[in-house]
Amino acid sequence: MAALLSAPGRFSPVSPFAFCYVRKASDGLPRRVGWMRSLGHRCTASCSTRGDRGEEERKRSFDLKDCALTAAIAVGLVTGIPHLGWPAHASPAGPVLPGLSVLISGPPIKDPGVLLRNALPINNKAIREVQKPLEDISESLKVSGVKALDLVERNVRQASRALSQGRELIMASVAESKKQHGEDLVNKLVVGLEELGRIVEQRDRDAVAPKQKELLNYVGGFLKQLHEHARLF
Amino acid sequence: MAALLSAPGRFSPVSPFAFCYVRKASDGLPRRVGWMRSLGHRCTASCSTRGDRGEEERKRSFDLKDCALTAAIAVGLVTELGRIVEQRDRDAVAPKQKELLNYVGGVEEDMVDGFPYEVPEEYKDMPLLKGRATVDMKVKVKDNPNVQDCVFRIVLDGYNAPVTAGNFVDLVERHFYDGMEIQRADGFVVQTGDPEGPAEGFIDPSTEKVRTIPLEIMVVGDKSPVYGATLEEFENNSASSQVFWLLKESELTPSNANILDGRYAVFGYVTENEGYLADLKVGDVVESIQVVSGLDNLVNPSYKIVG
Repeated sequence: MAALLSAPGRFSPVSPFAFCYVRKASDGLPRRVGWMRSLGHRCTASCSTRGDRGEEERKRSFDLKDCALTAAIAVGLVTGIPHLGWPAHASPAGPVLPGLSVLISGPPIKDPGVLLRNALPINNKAIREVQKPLEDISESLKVSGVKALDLVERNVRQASRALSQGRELIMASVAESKKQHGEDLVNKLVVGLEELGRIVEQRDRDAVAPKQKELLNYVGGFLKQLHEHARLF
Repeated sequence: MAALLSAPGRFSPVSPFAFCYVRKASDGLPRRVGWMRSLGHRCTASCSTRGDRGEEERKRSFDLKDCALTAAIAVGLVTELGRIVEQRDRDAVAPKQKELLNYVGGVEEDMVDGFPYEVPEEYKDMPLLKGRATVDMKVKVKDNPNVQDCVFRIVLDGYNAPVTAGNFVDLVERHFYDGMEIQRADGFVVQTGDPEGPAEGFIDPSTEKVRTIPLEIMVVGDKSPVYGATLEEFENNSASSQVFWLLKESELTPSNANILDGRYAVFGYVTENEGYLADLKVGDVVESIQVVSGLDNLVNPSYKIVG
């Protein structure tokens, strides 16, 4: 089922609970479109105050016809679904309207920590700039191979930079009564970021790759000698 | 898996299967000794620049074949070890990231000074959660060999749903949900809250009627929640004690774009063990729900008034 949303265009039926509302059309005149609820609907076409009566009539009838068609489809959808209780039945897998993808930007957030942080009633850009790269580490870790830790290193550096640049702004926004607590947390954050940076740097020092290279050379050498002494297999 | 070790000499792969290393023999010449445990035999060949060509040839060919095999196995193991070490580095990152994000969350919470808006007059005297609270919900899982009971940590968000969260915390303090069974678990939601008896909600002892709360929706960008409005076919303000957890798993109810948004009041999230929610089934029992922190954010508690 698609969520209720507004989309550009003359009308926007989305689900059996269709939802349309006032929008300014390209000629600047308000167009009132239809508002359809589950049973019983009302469809209104707008009339412009400009000129041509004939054109107006034609437009209006076209609007009405479209609205009537929409209403018919909506009613069909409504009656097509056996019951409107829970759980809802599956509907088309793709977006009902092309505009749907515009409104839902990025993959849906499922992490409760992220949702809770984003839901706090605060308006401080600086702390968000620290939050975002730290959260991006989860995405970086999903990449396979050694590239993952390269990406993590970039995230860590971004977060550290944002923290050092934005520290004053961050502390300025902390409530008076909680200034000390906030200061402690920011200090812990600075230390923690350094530690994380060290963990990620460490990865280069584990000399596994050179060992592997060395071994491969020997294998190559052996295989060459095997080739020379054909009496082996 | 054995650890890599380095020994003097040309190469030194180590494994339970094969072990080759260089030793200086008593005559000062390097001896390569092969030892193949997995294949159940041991080959010993020495390579010296002296002596019998024919024997040397035979020895050398045997030696090379086994050692080549050894080296190949060794390379495989080093690659495997590389993966293990890489995984170890990755594994160290995730918990540290979590710790740091907790600090960030803490700083952000410290930026909230008091409660940012006024709850409408008609709901002012109801139990309200003016802030956040955390509860632990212990559920006894029946007939599951993998899980006997599970504790879910839930953060209740009074910043975005003070009336709804307040009502819930009040009921939790009344031990309303203790002993209640999971009543619905259909792959989309897990639901409970319908008390025994004919009533479908919480009966307030002071009024002897079901206590209901209004629908409370905070829209992104708004300063305070919207009350009572919905296109839902059920009565807007008939919520009382029944709650459900939406499993964010089904493709039919994707986050941010499902048909429940705007029709039901969201007032919290499960932050620990949320993966086990899908394992709950009808009949599992909520043993207890306890407030872990944030109880002082509850104003107008009704549970303290003993009827």
